[in-house]
Amino acid sequence: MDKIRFATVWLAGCSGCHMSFLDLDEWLIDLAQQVDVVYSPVGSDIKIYPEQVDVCLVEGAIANEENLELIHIVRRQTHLLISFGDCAVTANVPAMRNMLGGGVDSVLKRSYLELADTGQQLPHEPGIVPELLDRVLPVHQVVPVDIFMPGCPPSADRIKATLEPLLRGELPRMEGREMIKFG
Amino acid sequence: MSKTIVIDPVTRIEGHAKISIFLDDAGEVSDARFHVVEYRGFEKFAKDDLLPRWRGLRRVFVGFAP
Repeated sequence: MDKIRFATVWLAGCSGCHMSFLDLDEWLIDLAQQVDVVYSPVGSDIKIYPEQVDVCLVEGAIANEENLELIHIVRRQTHLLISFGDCAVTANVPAMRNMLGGGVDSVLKRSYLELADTGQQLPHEPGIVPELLDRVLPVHQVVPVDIFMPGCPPSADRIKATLEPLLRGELPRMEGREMIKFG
Repeated sequence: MSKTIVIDPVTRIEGHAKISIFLDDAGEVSDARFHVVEYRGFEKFAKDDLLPRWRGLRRVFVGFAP
């Protein structure tokens, strides 16, 4: 049997879920023997999301045009997409800027003009700095999601309990406090 | 011919970034820029009245600094 083609992606998140993934420690060596890591910000230098990915952990919410573009590519080229952590599942911390109301103009003005100590200027670098979306969205509001793994971050045990069945070709049971608790 | 080399994305870092390297007509580096392309902004828009309410949330702002 071919190895599972495994990817991890991070969008608008703090990297905490990926750090928790690295907390799997020596189990990562077992995992590495059973999967090909074809794309991952912590595990490879590949810059373009590849075709025919079997399993992808997506950390983070959808906050800007680049997140939006990447998540559509990920969905198109991935068999099983897992919302990895609370930011992917609910938009969580990145979505706090939604509370300011008024969309992207109001958050940028607040940060870069009203509260800036020096050099008041709105960031504008077309093609380099991606435009922010008016509202930060959880992944499933943009593309269909196959498995939701909440947690801020999900514990290494929860990540392992989600991935292990997948390695055997089974779906994990996302039930009970150990598997689906937020925070 | 001046030329720009863009490294996008920068990998093996925490967060999101790009680097632009500008070459002049002779092919020498004339300037380089590091672009932080993710906006979070909590430290700014939580200033003043919002901060006390958000104190309990600091733990989850940065995964590297729990």
